[in-house]
Formats: sequence, C-alpha cells, structure tokens
Amino acid sequence: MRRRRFLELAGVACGALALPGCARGPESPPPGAGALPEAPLLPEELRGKVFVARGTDPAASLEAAVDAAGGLVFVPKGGTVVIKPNAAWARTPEQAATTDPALVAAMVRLCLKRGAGRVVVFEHTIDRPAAQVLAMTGIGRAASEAGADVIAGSSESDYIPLEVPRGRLMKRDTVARILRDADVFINMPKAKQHSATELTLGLKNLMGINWNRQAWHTGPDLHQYIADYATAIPLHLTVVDATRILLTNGPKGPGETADPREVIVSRDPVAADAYASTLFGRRPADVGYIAKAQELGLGVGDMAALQVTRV
Amino acid sequence: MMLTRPLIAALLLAAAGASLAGREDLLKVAPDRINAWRAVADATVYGRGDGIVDIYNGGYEDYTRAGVTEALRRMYAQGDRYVEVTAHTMTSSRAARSFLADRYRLEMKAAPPRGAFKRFAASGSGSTTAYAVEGRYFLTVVVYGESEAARNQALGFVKVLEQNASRLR
Repeated sequence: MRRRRFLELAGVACGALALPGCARGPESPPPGAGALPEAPLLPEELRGKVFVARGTDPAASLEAAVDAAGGLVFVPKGGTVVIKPNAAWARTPEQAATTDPALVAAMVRLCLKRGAGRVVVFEHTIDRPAAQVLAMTGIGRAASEAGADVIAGSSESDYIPLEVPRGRLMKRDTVARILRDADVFINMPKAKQHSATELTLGLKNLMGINWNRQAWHTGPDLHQYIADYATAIPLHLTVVDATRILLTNGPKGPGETADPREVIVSRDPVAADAYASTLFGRRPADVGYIAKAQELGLGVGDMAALQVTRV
Repeated sequence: MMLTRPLIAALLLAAAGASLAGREDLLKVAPDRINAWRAVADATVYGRGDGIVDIYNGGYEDYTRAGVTEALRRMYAQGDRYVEVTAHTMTSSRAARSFLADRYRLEMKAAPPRGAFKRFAASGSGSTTAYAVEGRYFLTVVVYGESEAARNQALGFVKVLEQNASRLR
C-alpha cells in the first residue's frame, strides 16, 4: 500500500472516526445506566432459512440475497442501524481476514435507502491504532463514503454492562454502548479459519462488541461463552462475507485463501453459521459454538433442517 | 499471615520486573528505528503469558503451547511501504527451532530443510511472511506484497531482527 494512499485512508478514517470515549457529552447517561432491550427469541417462520447469492460483485450479491430474504423490513424510518463487520486486524481485503469493504458499504447504502436515519459501523479493533486498522482494511473509508458513522470502541468507557440471563456459563458481560441507541443490529462477519474455535463466523464475530475478549479466551469454555453472549444480543440480520475466505492461519493470517464468491444472508444467526461452515468442508457440529447456540434456542444448526435458497 | 503479604508483594514486584525486562529485551530486537524504517506510533502491542491474546486473539494458544512466553508486535513505515514485525521470546532455543520447523511444514507443505535451518519466507494472498529464529527468539515479518522484491524485503528485515536478537544472548 502506498504511503499517500495509506495516509489518505487514515485521514478519512480519522475524520469519520468518532471516539465516544473522548467525545461523550454531558447529556450521556453514566456508565451502567440503561440497558439493551431484551433479545427476542427468533420467530419460528425465520428459523433455518438461509439465502445465498454467488457472483463477482459483492454489492449485487448482497442486494439479491437481502431481497430474497424479504428485504430490510425491520429497519424503521429514521431509525439507527449498527453494523458490526470484522475489521479487527491490520490486513488488506485480499488477505481475507476482514470483511470486504465493498460489502460493508453496500449494506450501509441499503439501510439508508430503506430509510434509516443513521447508520453506524462499529468495531473494537484488536490491532491498533484503530484508525490505521480501519484504513488498511478499507472499511473506514468505504463505510464513511457510503454515509455511515464509523466508531472504534477503543476505550472501556465505550461499553456498558450486559446481563446474560439465558446464558449457561456467562451471566453478565459488557456490550458496546452504541447498541443501546440502535433500533437495528446487523452482524457482518468474515468467514475464516480460527485456531481456537475451528472457524470464526457470525456468532464468534459478536466478540467484537464486548470489551474484554481475553476473559473469554482464558475462561473455561470459549464456545459456551460465544453462544451464551449471543442470547443477550438483539440481532436482526447476519450477513456472512464468504466472497473470499481464509483457510489457514486464522484469525489474522496471512494464510491460504479460497474464493467461494458467496454472500450468505439470514435472520437466523445459527443457520447462517451452519451453512458457512460447509464452505470449509466442515459440518456445523465440528464448530462447538454452533451446536451450543442451537441448544440455547438461538436458531437451527442442523444442516438437514436448513432451507437454503440460492439466488 | 504477617509473612504472607510481604511475600505476595515481593512476588508481584518480581513478576512486574520480569515483564518489564522482557518487554525491554523485545524492544531491542524491534527498536523504534530499523535503518530507515520507523515504528508507527501507538501500534506497539506487548503480551506476556495469556496476555499474548492481545496480539493473536484466538490464535494465541498455538503460540503459548509451542513455548512462546512473551511477544511484541510493531508496525514499521518507510516511505510508501509498511511492514509488520512480531518478536517472540520462547522458553528455549530448542523450542524456537521446533516452532520454526512447524511453521515451515504449515506454510510450505513440506518437511523443513536439514541442517542449520533458521529462516524462510512464504507468500500468498497479497503478502509475504518471513520467519526466523535466533537463540530463543522467534521472529516474523509480514510485508504487504507477493513479488520477489517483497520477499527480499521481508527476508532482509528479518535478518536485521536476528542480528539485534543475537546481541541479547
């Protein structure tokens, strides 16, 4: 990446980058005040339905899959949408460790077209500084040019306490403060190999809206933590980026990649992950958190019960 | 009970001292400047034990299981190029050599060369990674490119890190 290009991207990312920990106004409630709405159980008619579009244009694939899934009917006019891509690492899009920026931008545009009043792209980057990571991934610029606010939750004060009453192992944790203001939450993971959890997909991507990831990794059962956490997150849509996937040396790479050129859309977060796991030659049961999420009633993880619609 | 508190305090101080010393050593391997390269401000991450999760996230267990005790990651910039460096301290030079061989098998899908094998480079998907060992230090350099020039750049950079590490032995 050329320096001028990098600095340009970094500038865009910094310019668009809100740092809530620094910029919070006096009108904001103190840490701990308020809470997320209770995460509703997935309606029966949405369970197990997965929509898969394949093609060389990620934006076109996304639009086709979202249309097939019934559109963004859950986005209220003037409402706030929070999108969580995987932008954790200082990696370029071709390295397949982060969500394709074209896909993130396309999602932003779809939400605005639907009537959203504000779209926020949020990430708690692992590499730092966050502005550099968002620049290198291409997501900072792509999202802001599409009309989103880009927020990097780099400070503990960017998170609020979260109760996890349906969790088996986890009973409380933290969640990005911005989600308290969201009417809609859309998860946009990158499908990739992960040395600790076999694969990182949608449910795993939710770790990036929590403050202390280390506690999960060093705890007794990472898979159960991932599934437990998802029970407390009001999630409206999962869009798995499988345009290019990372096959080895995940989650950061660099490693071997493959190009399924697929965009996977589902209201059922477990079904989205279950289908995505097959792109790696795995069964959903090979990924511990998928089975545990199904046990918790979050969705359908059994391939035989999935309804996959190809568009 | 009266002896317990001073003992705990001494142990905590010793642990903090060891951590500080370990970080300082790794900063000598990957200093603020390497020739014309400068470390990017605020992009340095250090981890010790389970703290290595700050560098590798879920991948960190592979490193700790192999014997990595500490690691330091830095991003360097020179003109229009960027390079990512990670220096790892391992439990022994033997563990470092073994880990290098493991990485070779993983990346090259082949058995590592016999003899004094201490570095290699692998390219793919827009990047080149150079791996090397020097004593108990395991070193990686990621360059954003797959060309021959990128490979030479990665290998050249990792050789400088090896020289820096050799002075710590």
